[in-house]
Amino acid sequence: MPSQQPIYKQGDTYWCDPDPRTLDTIGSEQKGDRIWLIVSIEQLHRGKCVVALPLSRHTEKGAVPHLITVPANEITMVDGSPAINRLALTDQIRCLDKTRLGKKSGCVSHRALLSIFTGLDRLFGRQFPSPKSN
Amino acid sequence: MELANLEMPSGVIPPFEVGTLGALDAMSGDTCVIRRSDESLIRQLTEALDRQLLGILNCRSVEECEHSRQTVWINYVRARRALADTISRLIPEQVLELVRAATTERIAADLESARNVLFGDAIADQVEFSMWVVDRMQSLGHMISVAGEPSDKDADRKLSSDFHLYALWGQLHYDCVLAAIKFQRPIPEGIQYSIRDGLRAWVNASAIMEEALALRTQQGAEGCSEAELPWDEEDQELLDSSMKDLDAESATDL
Repeated sequence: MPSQQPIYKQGDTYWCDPDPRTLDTIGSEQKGDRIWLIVSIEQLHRGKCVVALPLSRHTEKGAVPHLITVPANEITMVDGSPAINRLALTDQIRCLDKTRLGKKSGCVSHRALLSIFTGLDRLFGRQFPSPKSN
Repeated sequence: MELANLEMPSGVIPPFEVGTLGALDAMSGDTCVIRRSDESLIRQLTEALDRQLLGILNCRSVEECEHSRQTVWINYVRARRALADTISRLIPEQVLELVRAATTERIAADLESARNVLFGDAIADQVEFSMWVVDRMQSLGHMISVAGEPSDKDADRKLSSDFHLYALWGQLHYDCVLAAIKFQRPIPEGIQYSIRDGLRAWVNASAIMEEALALRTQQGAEGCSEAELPWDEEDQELLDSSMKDLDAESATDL
């Protein structure tokens, strides 16, 4: 039977495999500790592309308001290991090659995802005119 | 605000009453819409709130701040509700609208002048972001009000309860910043992170409003499938480039 293509769903998190050609130049600690959150919806994934942003463990960068803190209790790890507080680096959003996504690490809660969208909205300069002016 | 459909208990203050504390000062001098006795009542409630906020601003460490917030929380919520109820009963809505608009402008100006003197960039930036989040919530509130009934009333009620918690928690910290400006009281460095983190509660409140909106609307991208979406050489080139950048960045620690 042909192997089934994994489904990359919005809200899921993955380890991102480093390029095999650069493996010897990247410290194992770094490559093993960066997870990526898929923010695009699967129905709109084109080709090998998904849109994702990194969830950093460096929460001290949270002084930048549009970087959104994701508390550990909003993150589920598939292997049952304890999650840690993370920071969604909304300004590091990018397309990723599905074939380079490694093991699924888990997912974030729907509410955390919506909070991250708030940060993205801010980053994209969305304005919300007063309903009274409509 | 038009949030009637969000199953909100009556008398709860939405977080959009931004700047109410500062607004009262401006209002009493220029606008004669309330009696002296009413003005005095509002002033007393404001002073009660200010005392609680100044108690938090007197803290020097995270531990002290946590203890102080726990101590004032219930009284703060009661005083805030009482103030909001009193204001909404005594002051005509159109006057309140004018005051809100003027206050927002005034806070933005005060924030800039206080930025380097009272609390630094991180809090000032967080407050600016929070004011933007409030605009977002107002817009969501309007959408909720015209979207009809929720598909699941129990879930909606639970969201409403969560919303109030986060909205009020954000409001407490926003009021702390306003009190710092009003009394020209610097926010001690030891509690700045706590204040900033508290302001972030409005991001949660905003997310909860989106959940409430989703209970009233059908969202999604039905009708699309991967096969219908073209992918060409240019797309592949751009994707490869993005991945190449990523590999280069892997040597650094995001």
